[in-house]
Amino acid sequence: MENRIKDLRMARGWSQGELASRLGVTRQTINAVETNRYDPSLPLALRAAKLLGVPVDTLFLDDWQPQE
Amino acid sequence: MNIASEPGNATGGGRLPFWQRAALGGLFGAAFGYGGSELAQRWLPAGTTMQDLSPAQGAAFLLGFISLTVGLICLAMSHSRRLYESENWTAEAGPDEHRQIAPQLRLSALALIAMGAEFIALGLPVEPARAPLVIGTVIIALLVQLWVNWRVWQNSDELYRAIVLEGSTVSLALVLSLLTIWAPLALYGLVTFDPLTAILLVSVMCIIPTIWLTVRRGMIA
Repeated sequence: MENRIKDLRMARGWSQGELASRLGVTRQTINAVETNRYDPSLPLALRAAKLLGVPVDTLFLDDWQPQE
Repeated sequence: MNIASEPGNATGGGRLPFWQRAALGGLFGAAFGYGGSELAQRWLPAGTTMQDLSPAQGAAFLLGFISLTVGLICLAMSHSRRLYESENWTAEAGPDEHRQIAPQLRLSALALIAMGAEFIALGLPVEPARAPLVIGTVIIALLVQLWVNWRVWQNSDELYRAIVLEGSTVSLALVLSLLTIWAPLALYGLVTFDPLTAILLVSVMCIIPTIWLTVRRGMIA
């Protein structure tokens, strides 16, 4: 899933390792999420959104819309 | 496109051009293969050569030797802080990366060494009198691998666990398919069913999906 984690992380001047440390995961997990190779669990997505100061649906981009 | 990553171009940071790296890889592989077969020859019982081994025994021996070597390399890497301080690792890595990864790498090295010992023991032709030694080695190696898997699972985050779960699902489907096809063929005598070939194929079907998923999910980066 597309996301803005890399942009928001870099805006704060954090490396992947620093963000990983703050979120309690490995740098490999952050790298996998940033490169859209892995969709994080809901708890990790919520923690990332809180840490980066944006709503989850701003952090993760999904163009799905419910049918009328 | 990153020009530095194109084959044939020299990369930054003192990296060798693609063809030189390929040539070095080939040389290393040839030296590794020659050294491995020489070493294997020394481990075989007196009067036995590699040509005397069955294809399954040869494959088990080879897989064991590769596992043992990769395990020793992982063990060396886990003690090398310099590796993590090299240019390729520090771009996104935090200062604690080596401290975080080294224990996991050591555990993986232990599992690989145990797997290597297990397959070498299974591949070696031994006299019946030494069977307890082989069986003991295999059981201890299996227990070590189970313990390591449990420890790694306990210490891992969600990416590793997702890869293990996904890999296990793919492996189970592959193993079931293989055995479902193999069973009737063996029942009607069209192929043989020997335990060593079975354990080798099952192991390969567990290893390959995990490696594929590890790369696909971006864990190696």
